[in-house]
Amino acid sequence: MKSKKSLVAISLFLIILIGVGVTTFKFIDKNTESLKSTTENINISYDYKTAQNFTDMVRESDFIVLGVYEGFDSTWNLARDPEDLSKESKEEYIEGKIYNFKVEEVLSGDIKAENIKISHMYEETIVVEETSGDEEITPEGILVKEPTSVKYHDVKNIDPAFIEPNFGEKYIVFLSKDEINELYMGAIEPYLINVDENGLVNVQSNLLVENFPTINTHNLGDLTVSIESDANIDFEDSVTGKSLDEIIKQIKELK
Amino acid sequence: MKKRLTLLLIVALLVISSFTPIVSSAYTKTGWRVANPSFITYKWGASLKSGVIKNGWVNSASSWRTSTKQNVRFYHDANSVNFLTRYTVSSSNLYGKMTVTYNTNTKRVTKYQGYMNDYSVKTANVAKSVGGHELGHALGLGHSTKTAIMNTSRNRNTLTTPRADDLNGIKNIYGISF
Repeated sequence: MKSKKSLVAISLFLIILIGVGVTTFKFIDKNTESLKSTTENINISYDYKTAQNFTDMVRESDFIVLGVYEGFDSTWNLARDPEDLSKESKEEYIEGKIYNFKVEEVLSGDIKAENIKISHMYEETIVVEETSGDEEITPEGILVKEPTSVKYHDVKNIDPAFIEPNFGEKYIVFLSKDEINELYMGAIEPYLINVDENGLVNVQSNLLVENFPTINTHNLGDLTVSIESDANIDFEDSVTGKSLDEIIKQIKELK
Repeated sequence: MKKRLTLLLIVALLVISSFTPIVSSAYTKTGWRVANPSFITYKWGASLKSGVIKNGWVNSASSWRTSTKQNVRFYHDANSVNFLTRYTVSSSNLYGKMTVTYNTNTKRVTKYQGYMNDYSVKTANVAKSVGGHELGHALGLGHSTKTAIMNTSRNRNTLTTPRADDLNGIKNIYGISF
């Protein structure tokens, strides 16, 4: 009888102990979370025009050329003044790399020049705000009290679709044109097909590789910012491994 | 014996149902969510003027509201920390982007900034489609491979409103039904 009473007492004690333990853990966890809440991630998701298959690549391009990337030419700001596209934006900076491309054959579109310049979007400058942390914002996103101070940091983020071409190698490139700035650019993603020394083709796009989002961490004094770049593609690759002649034939049939 | 068989049957059914998806879906989730999907605020970016892009944002916000039977609602508030705007990027294959800042511990959105590229967004339908896609990101949807506003291969002239796959994603993220 006595041992039964002791058993009940021990059980009750254990139940209370577990209850107190769980409550204390939750309290500590909640407070730790609020202390950690200054950590923030920035995610950038891009809406690119993407091809589902080779037919899309051909049909969405204004120009298709076969040739060789000869080398790097210069950089420029892809962010433009909306009132005058020949001028760069004063607010944003998105760096493009311009490459010299020697045209061997125009497969589609009207290009007379033997040498053209192709712009690849390279790197965006993102302005990150670092506030003093005393601002008040409602859960709905309404600013109730301004922060005492705000610091601005410029962070550079490489475009997830950027590919540096291999100079001297042969490519088929699917293009559109910025008529005002006399530059060609990728018309759709993917827009590059590399031709190897055996005359076999290979579709190239970072978005075909399932490694997104890419994450770049930047230390900005007291603030650490992780920038995730997210973009992907659902492309049915029916051309990689085929011969150049076969692909040229297909392009001419589709156009 | 009969009771045991019934019990066995129930257990078997439960096991099978746990492995069978209720809805076949291709939507993806980014991992973050807004605090309250029926009350999300935004203000206009400083450089955004009346026109195709602004109407696109308005129409796409409205399409989310209608498609979700009022469960997702965006409200304009001049004091919002979120903004919707335009930029001009000389790239015909880039329609827009959504920048979402979120708390890594709570996974709550603290700020979002939507941009439409007015270099490539020229018509009302494309603007509505791009706006709907970007707002989908703010809500916590990633890209989809199905017939969906979140599919980057969609026809932006014809697919301008959230579809079943998008709505399934929202239902899943916020645990709501409509």
